[in-house]
Amino acid sequence: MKLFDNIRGYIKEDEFKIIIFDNKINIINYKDIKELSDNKIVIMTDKYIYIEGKNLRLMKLFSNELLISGDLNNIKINE
Amino acid sequence: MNSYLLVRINGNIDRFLLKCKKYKINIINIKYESFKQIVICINENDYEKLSNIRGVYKFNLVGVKGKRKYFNIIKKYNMLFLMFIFSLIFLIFLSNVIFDIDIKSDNNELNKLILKELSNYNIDKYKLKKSNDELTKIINSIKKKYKDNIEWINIKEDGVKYIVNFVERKVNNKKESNEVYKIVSKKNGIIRNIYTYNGISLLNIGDYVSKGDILIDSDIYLNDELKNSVDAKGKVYAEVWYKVKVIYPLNYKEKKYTNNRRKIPYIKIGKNYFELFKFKKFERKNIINIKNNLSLFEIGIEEIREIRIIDKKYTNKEAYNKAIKLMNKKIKIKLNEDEKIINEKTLNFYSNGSKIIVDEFVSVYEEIGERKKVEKGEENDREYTQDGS
Repeated sequence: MKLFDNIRGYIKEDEFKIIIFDNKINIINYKDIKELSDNKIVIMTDKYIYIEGKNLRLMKLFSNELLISGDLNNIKINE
Repeated sequence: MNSYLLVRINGNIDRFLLKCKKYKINIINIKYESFKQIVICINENDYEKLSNIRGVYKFNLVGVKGKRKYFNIIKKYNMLFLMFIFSLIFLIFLSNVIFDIDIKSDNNELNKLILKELSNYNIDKYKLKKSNDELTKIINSIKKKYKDNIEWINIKEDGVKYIVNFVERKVNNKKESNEVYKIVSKKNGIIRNIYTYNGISLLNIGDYVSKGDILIDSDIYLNDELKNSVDAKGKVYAEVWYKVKVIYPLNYKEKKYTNNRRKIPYIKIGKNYFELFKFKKFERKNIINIKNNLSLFEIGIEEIREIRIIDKKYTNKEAYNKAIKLMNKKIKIKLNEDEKIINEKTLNFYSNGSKIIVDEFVSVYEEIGERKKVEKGEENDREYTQDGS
């Protein structure tokens, strides 16, 4: 059954992902944005994700995907 | 292809973006102009959802991308596009019209016949060109119809012109006659070979003959009595001499065509050409053109062919060698396969400004016999000598 789950996950891509680049963060399959400012962005999935830094800006905004640019200092994940 | 809109937003940007998330507006790209002003790229369908966002925001549509952008350009320049498409269609139409039919033959009667036959197949001036398959069928049917007059026919398309080449069938109407010919010398020379097929040879190898001397006679005598007159046939080869003067330039300039050629569209305004592609040095040949003499504007298709200029300066010796080669080539063209140059000697060689002049003495092994008709009564009045003079 794990094999079917793997195949379904590969096709549907409904897993939450954070990809961190040099000055960008790509967030896939998030649920909501709780807070948005220059220094702090709070994203909600099953958990809360706190992104802290300077000049944080949204570059792309889709219903399931985000692209954030800026100088990243810290990422915290809270239950 | 989707259409996208570029919208400038003024106000509290962070709050606006959170509201976009709430109303499920997908933002493909966000460009920050200041902390209170951004330009967002959204799908055309999401534009109406923006009006649902409450708050103090200013929306300005600043641009379009994708399908709608091209529609807008076409809408704005519709007359220009129409004219361009119409010109293109007109150009294609013109390039498919026959403007001239050129028949490469001197037989006027047959030319008229073929022209008439072609017009039966709708190949005429200012009519549409035929496809290759149709042309092949027409050629075959003309060949079949005029099999007694035409050996071979071909119709070649050259721009807006059809070139008709054909080979006329030569019917052999030669009838057997009782005419008698003798073979006489057409040049002075020393006999080197004699091949007599019919008649009596009057000469030996090594004899000197002058122009007009009889070489092979048609009359056969026995004990000074004429027994028979036959049609003399044979070949007589002799050594003949020529004095040749060759003038060759010391400066040689030649325009050589390379294999590079292209058909390209062009625009001509006044005397200036505007084209997409050019060779370094080339010659142009117009294929189709549309022009207005009043506006000096011309549009059309031309064939450009690359040329190479060869510019050489020869020394006297080089020019002399070239002159001798050229002379040999020219003489050999005039000779048959069984004829050849025996010897050659330079009599005089001098340069005169930009050219050299070579006086050359050439001895050639060639056939000197020619058939001459014997008139009735002539044979009885003639006297012969052994050397043919």
